[in-house]
Amino acid sequence: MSLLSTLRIGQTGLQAASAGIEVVGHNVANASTEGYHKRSLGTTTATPVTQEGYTFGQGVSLSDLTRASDELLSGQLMDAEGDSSRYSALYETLSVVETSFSETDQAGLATAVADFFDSLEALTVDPSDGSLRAAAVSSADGVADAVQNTWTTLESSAEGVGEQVSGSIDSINESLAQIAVLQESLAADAATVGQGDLLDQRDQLISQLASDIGVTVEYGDGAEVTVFLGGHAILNDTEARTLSYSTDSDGDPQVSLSTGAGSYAVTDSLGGSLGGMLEAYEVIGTLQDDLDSFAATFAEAINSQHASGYDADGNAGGDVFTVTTGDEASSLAVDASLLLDASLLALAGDASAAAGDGTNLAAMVDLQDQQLFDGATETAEEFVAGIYATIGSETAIAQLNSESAAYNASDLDALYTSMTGVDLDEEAVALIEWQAAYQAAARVISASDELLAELMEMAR
Amino acid sequence: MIGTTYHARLSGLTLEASRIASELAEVQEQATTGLAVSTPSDAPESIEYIHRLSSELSDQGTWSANAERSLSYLDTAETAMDQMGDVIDSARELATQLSSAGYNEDDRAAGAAEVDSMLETLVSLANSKFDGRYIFAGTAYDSEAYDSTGTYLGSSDQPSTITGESQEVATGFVGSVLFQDSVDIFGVLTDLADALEADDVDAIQATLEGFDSATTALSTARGLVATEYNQAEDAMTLASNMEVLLSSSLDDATAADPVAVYTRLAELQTTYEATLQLTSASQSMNLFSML
Repeated sequence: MSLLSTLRIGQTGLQAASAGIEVVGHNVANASTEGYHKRSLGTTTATPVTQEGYTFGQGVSLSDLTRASDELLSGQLMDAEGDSSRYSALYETLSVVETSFSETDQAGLATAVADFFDSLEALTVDPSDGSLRAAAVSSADGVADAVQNTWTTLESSAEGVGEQVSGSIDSINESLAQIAVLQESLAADAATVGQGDLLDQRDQLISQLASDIGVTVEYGDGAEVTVFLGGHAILNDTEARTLSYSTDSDGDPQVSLSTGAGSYAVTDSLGGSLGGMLEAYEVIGTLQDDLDSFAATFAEAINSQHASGYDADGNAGGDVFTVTTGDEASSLAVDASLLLDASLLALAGDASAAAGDGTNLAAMVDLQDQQLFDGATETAEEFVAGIYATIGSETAIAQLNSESAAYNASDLDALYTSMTGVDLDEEAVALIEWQAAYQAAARVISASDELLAELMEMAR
Repeated sequence: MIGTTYHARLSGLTLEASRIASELAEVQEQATTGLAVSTPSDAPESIEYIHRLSSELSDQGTWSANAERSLSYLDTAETAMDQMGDVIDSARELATQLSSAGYNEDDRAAGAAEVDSMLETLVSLANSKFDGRYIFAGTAYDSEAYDSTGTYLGSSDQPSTITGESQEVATGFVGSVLFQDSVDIFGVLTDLADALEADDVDAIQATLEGFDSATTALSTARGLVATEYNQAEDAMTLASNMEVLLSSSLDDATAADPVAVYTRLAELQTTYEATLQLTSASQSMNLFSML
């Protein structure tokens, strides 16, 4: 053991403290970096030497640079973020759709249906009154417009969902490809300490995938990872598979996974924001089906009763509404001739009836209270109110789920961040420690230097 | 959960602030619009009830307007029938007078001319119309109810309008039912004119019984009109009361409680400001800034 070896021991202390300060600096610099996991520097005693039967320490050496992580919690966080994104997307989409059903500042379908029957009741005062007839035809047109407008708005929302899903698929495939490239780099640099940054980038991309489509992850040896969507692996370490968007024969969005073995439909496995949007798409589809059902039944009921009556000229009643089978809501319209000539309204009970005969009109008014809809269990107004209740409850539930899922994700994120993120207070303490260690090592060197100088002086 | 790290703590506070801001916006909208329910998701469980109230409220307006319109027709009918009663009374008085022995053939011939004139008046009253509608022509109200001889030309169907749930009020009458059912009031005058023309005292006296029946028939008819009139008035009153009741129920179902809204608004504003201050304070709460 010599003064020179003491100098070297001091040097190892300086090097370790410098590395420690460097790690603290890296942590602090990345404290706000999304997805960054804090690094910790491990040290160990340097290999001692034995001289003349005595073992002397050789200072400190760096043992490892670890990246904080918790795979179990990370998986739970991804699930929570997937759920949060899913409900958030569902709620956002439905709340936009719901504006079509708000009647506080506009006349919608419910008002139009009520107005139609009111106009028929008003017509009972004088079935021969031209202006009352015109008002009734106008209110029938109002029902057709309301049904068409509501359906068109829903269709526009559904198309928007399709476009968003389609547009997202490209960026998801890009993320998968980037992860595969990162996995290759990780495999190539397995022995280096710089893996932490690559792992941060990879996990950040996987976390984004969880938010976008809801994935689960299995970690293998080293940095190996497999990403699953439902039961299908969409990334097997360095091998990324691709998702593709298409529409089925009904025009509904479909997402498929292409693998070497073929293509699999994964639409039903999608979670995250895309899953939420597709759920909203289904709700929109249900509302459109309900509108089609309403349009078909309403037109059939009114037309059928109208055909039993006679117009102002004693001719049998024609159709009030025209409708195309299969596209009922989008095609519902008032007969063009009737729009031009309200005297064609067939309100009388027989061909030679007097001008004020409203026998058939009374029968048309009675349709308001007849349970003709939803398997003959609901009136027209009840059925329409049911449509409003559907969108209302779906939106309200989505909002509640969105809020609770956001809190759940936030809680888990806070927990995960507290374990893996950078705590500035902790880093400040570590900085003080490394500073002290550096100063102490410097003192060792300084003391050794002084002793050496003393020795040199004595030898002179 | 508030995170234990600086960034987790700020992230948690940001989420809280965002949640409060969102609720604050919602409550501010309620304060502005006065509505607690402006979209179906605000109260999905009540949406059917709200729609039913709105629909029923709308019905009241229509029913009230229908009843008001029917009152005009019924007024016209009532006025006409009052005047018809006067004519019948005058004719009966003339019949009584000219049936006495103190009158001669010339007097009765002059009386016959007067009765013809009364018949014309009676037919004219039976052809009373309002707003272009012949009130006693049944549903054939676009043309006269009677020709000049008192022959009914109208329809046998009574027009009516809807004034309430399963409730209708007449907007016209079938003249033949009112004036020619138990007794033909025009026939009574025709018989009197014929008897006067023939200077047949016995026949003149025989018409007096017919006049009694005519008066009774008219009285019954006026009772029918009065009943319809009362029903129309009741319908208007009911619709008016229901409008108030339904509006109140609709308000209860959709309107925001101002006291609750403004209390919550103040509460949220305070909480939001506190959260912002907490976030601000939390930003400077790290060891680095204190070293």
